[in-house]
Amino acid sequence: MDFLLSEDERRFQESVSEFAKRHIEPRWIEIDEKGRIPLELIKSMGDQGLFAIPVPDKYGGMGGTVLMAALAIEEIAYHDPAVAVAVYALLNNGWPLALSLFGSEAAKQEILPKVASGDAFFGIGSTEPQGGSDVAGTRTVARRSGNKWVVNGEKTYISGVREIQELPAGGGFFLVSKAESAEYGHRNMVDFALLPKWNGKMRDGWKPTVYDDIGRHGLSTGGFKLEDFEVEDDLRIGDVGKGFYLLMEGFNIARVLVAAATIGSARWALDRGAEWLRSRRLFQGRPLASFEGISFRFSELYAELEAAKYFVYRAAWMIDKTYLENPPRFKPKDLNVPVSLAKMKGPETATRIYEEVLKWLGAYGYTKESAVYRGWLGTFSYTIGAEGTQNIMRYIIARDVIGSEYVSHTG
Amino acid sequence: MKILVAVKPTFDIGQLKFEKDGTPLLDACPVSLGEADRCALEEAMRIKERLGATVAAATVGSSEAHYKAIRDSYAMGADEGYLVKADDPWKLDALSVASAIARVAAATGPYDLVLTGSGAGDTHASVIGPMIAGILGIPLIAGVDRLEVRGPGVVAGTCKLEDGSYTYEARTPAVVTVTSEANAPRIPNLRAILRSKGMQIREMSAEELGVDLRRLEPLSVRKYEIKRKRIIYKAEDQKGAAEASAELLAALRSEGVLS
Amino acid sequence: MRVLAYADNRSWAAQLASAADALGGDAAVFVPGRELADDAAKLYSEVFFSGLGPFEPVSYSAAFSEAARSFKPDLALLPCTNKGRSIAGLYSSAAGIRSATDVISLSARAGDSSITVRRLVYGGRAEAEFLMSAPAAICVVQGSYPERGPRGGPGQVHEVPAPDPASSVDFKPKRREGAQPEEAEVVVVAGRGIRSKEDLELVKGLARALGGAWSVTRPLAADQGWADSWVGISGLVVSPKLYIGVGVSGQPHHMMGARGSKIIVAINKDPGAPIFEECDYGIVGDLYAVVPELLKLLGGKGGDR
Repeated sequence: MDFLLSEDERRFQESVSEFAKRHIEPRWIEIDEKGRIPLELIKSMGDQGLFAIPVPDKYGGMGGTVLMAALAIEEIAYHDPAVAVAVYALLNNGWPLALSLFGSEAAKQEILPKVASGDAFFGIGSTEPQGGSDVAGTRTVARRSGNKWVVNGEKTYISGVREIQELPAGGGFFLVSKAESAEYGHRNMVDFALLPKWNGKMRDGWKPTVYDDIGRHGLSTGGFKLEDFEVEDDLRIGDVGKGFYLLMEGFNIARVLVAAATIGSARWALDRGAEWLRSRRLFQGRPLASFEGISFRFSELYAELEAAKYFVYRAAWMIDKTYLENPPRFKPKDLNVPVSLAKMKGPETATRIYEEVLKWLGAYGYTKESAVYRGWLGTFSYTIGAEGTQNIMRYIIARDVIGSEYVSHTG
Repeated sequence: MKILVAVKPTFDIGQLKFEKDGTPLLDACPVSLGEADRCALEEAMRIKERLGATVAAATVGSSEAHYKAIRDSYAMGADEGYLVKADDPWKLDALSVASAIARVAAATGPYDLVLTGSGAGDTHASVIGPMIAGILGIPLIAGVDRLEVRGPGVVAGTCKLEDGSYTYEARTPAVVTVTSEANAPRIPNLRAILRSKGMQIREMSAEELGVDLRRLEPLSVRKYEIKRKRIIYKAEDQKGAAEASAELLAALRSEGVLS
Repeated sequence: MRVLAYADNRSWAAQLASAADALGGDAAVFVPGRELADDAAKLYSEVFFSGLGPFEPVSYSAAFSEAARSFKPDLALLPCTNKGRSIAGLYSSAAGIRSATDVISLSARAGDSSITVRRLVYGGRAEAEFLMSAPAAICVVQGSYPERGPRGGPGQVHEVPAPDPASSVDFKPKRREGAQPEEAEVVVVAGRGIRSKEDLELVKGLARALGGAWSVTRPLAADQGWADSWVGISGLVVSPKLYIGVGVSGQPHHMMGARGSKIIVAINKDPGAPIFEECDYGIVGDLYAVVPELLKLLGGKGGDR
């Protein structure tokens, strides 16, 4: 068991760190304050090859691994603690990989090169007004009509709703719906690559709104209504009936990248905390770090951060051995617990670290000048439950470890 | 055009730590391709992209960091890589390194340009480039922050020196040293990094090059500290600022540095 | 030790003269122009000069080599400046001799032709002591030796023919407005604590009030473009009586350019800034509060100097 990164992984990690230091760190506060990521930053990230990292070369991706994508997201988040840029990047890595694994050849050829170049965004469209966790309750319905589908429904709390309207090519979402009828259950779930804007043109039948979040302002959260929105059949991702399972596989990939973003941001916070503990002096010149009530708490948080980090790396490594190796070492269901551990630990560790660091900073931490609160609010979104709630993570672990016949409440 | 870029891994001196007795902890200090050397590679790549050229990277030393320096040069777009084997490379004297690079140039050239960073980040000796020019007997343009190829066989470089700005024009072959203000070196993407892994590095020995590698053994190396008084005043608010300022000026007057 | 110095201004001629004194033995100097030769003759018993045009390393070092062929030094002493290093590199490779740069002290060993050299390494964070045997070329750090005053009768002056430059030179001299950091007795440096180009006025005003020069750290010049030159390892190396860093954190690259100062003062709101480890006096506070107070107190002494 070799716990060190390979030379390529380290070199890639350094290259992303350097890019982020040069291009993202000087702007992360402005991005959070003004509420948008400049389009030329997105384009330069595309030029640098930071999107579609694990997507094969032949579709314009970097031909890398999910572990490399996780390392990149962690470095971006370290330089963008409010995580808008990191989340934009993780969505634009995770869901394009899902498309690459499950979509049609035509869809991959059409969509992935534009995502890789930074001209388009491809995220997730799953949550609906009546529920996010209960995917079986999806009410968006797609009705077959010749070689296309006509989709009606509503999605809420979707990242990237504003961005796809502004990007040159546009983009869209890995959309979850049901074929023909909205009856409860997985039986007829089907996924699509929904492209409300493509090749610069808006499609009819897509009615977006943008919300006003308390944090992670740089990346929009919004919703949209689908009114007889037409989707070509070659944009269908997988067969009817497989929609739920492919969605869950996609979530496993996205969740490990979400955890990577939260630990990158948390590492930034803990580093700021350590700096403060060294330089802040009280009670006749003693550094804060010399008070064990403070330094012991630092050690506990450091331990949690290290643990969360290794959960991420291990889960990412397993995902690579499931999808990018032949024959695969693991089956998709083997990923549920390792990924859920990472997604449970990452955001919660970040929240605990931010809370404690803010206490160390005291009144200064309560001012906008310190900027630490931006990371706290940004990562908090994932503790609240974006991309899979913390209780669903606990449910998955309990179900798979204790046994679904004891734990499951859906039968 | 053929361009040779002499590169060297350097210690990240900002991260260098010392033992209590002042011994530098070099083993624990991160090492990477120097900033000015990367700017030199970037200039070579820009010439390659604009006018067409083959770019070779060369280094002297057998540490893992030296091999990585060539791989990093490949990731930036270099076509060829040469490594002159040498154990204990950090102790090599500057003239030995310059001679080795000059021999590599003679053996694998002829080159129109020999580029290098204008100062190694850790020792900042800035002599390797001039020494290579001296050995090869060709013009030297040292410390450029702008380099242009003005025509076939003619290059020009602008250098900001202590007393003003100098623009030199020389016929190639020439040695040009590049400052870390010359450009923002490209950051290789993952594809370039993965591609560089498989590329061959041509190893050469001092014997085959006919060069004598000499090392300089220091009598001692320790942390450089000038004993300073370290008298610190606190200024928590405007009143504190006024008090601290008064105390500071009084101290400086008694030091005799205020007229 | 027979020493041949290279100097392109009066200050270096005087510094290297005291370095040569410390080694004992005869010393001569090479200067690139007739105008400097007469001044140099007050410091050295033998002066070589060549009627050279604006600085071009190959011709300058060829002329220096010609002087060395005549004087046959054990040691060549040069300024540790961009120009000095280029000449040292060209000269030592042509002569096949060892060289050392960033040297802060030299001493001759009694009885043999070797010298003990202390030089700065690792960006100035460490010093290394070496034994070197003559002949060798040494670049000396600004401020390591004091400027020696004139001594004895005027030295002998020899002209060396000027070789052709290896490159054509187009020289644009720096516009010298006000005191120059390399020459001033007081230098006030602006660091990243200064928030805008307009705020540099605080630093310039303090420099004026103290009768000194102002400069910046590298990021303010190279990244922000607020100045043409900066104090640091890759820029100006200064050794005034008084250095004041205003909002300067004290990174190694910058401190390499300022360490030779007699008294270092730091004003910074971050108590953990590295400069506080290397200063004689420091104020931990907001420079926007402190500098106006200093200016107020110096007010009576401010104005035109």
